[in-house]
Amino acid sequence: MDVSSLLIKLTTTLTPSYDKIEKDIKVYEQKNFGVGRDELARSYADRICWKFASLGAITTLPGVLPGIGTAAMIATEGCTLSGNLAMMIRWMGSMVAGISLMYKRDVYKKFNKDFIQVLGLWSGILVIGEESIGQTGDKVVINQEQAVPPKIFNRINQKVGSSMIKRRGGVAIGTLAPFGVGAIVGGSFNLVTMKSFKQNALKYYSFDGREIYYIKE
Amino acid sequence: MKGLNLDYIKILFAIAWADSELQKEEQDLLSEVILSLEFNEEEIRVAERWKTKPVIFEDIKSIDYQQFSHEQKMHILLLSGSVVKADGVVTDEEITFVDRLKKLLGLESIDIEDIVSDIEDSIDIFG
Repeated sequence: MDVSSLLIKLTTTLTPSYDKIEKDIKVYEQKNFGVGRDELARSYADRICWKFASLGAITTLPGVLPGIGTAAMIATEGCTLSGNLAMMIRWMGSMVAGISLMYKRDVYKKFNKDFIQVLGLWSGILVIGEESIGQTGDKVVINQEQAVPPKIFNRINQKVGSSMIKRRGGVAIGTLAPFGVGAIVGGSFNLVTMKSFKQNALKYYSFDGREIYYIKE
Repeated sequence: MKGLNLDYIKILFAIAWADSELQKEEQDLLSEVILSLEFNEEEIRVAERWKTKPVIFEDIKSIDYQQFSHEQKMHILLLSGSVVKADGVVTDEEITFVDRLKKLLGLESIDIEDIVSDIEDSIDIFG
């Protein structure tokens, strides 16, 4: 399976549960009544980061291994991806869907495009806004139906791959060391990865979705 | 990044030092976490010192815990519970450490099992 097929498989198979996220957001908005949209989106995304960090810590605890979600399981089996990778992509997708819903974007129609573009920003291949000034790279317009340039997919793949190598390294350390150490390792890797993704997701939604992206040279 | 500041790193060191020794894996990881955050040279110097100078509970008492979100507090508590159980024996001192940390975090009524259950609920939504 080539990189493009793999990522398309990931973004479609791992499509978040919009209904569940929407319900969760409603409860979160009620709890934080009066908080502005930008701050609410930031804190909601941050909440996902810390929960994902805790998940990373929990999965290193013996005897406490929460089952991974059904969709993530399907992707893992279908693409022979590691459970960790599937979980990471799935939680990243859920974050994008959550922020999208908060900004009243059409998540049902635009999720795949939005997700790929946020992954592109996170991996550093795409730039937007002030960062695009002076860029000589190709302009990119990603539609739902259009194929995404292989260059973008390749860079995303590299970024995802390097994150997972680090994560695997962490797990390996945690496996050899007493499990308390593993909890710090697993939690911190998840946290650092997701925090960096969050910054890019928030940046993406701070624009109105009609911007032109540039492939960074 | 909000919440990922020196106070948080200091608490991580205190947790890692809770069993009175900082293992090499912990040192390596904490170094990586420090480097991945956008600290200035002075902050890095301060944090690096905690690798050799134990951070004890008294050192983290004066931290403003209100700056942390509920999820971050839960994460800190989860890590502390995990670390003190690391060698399979939980001493009275370690129980006291976790109980005192719970108080600082304002999570007296929360146990690790509650946190695991909360994360399982989140897996149902996000994962």
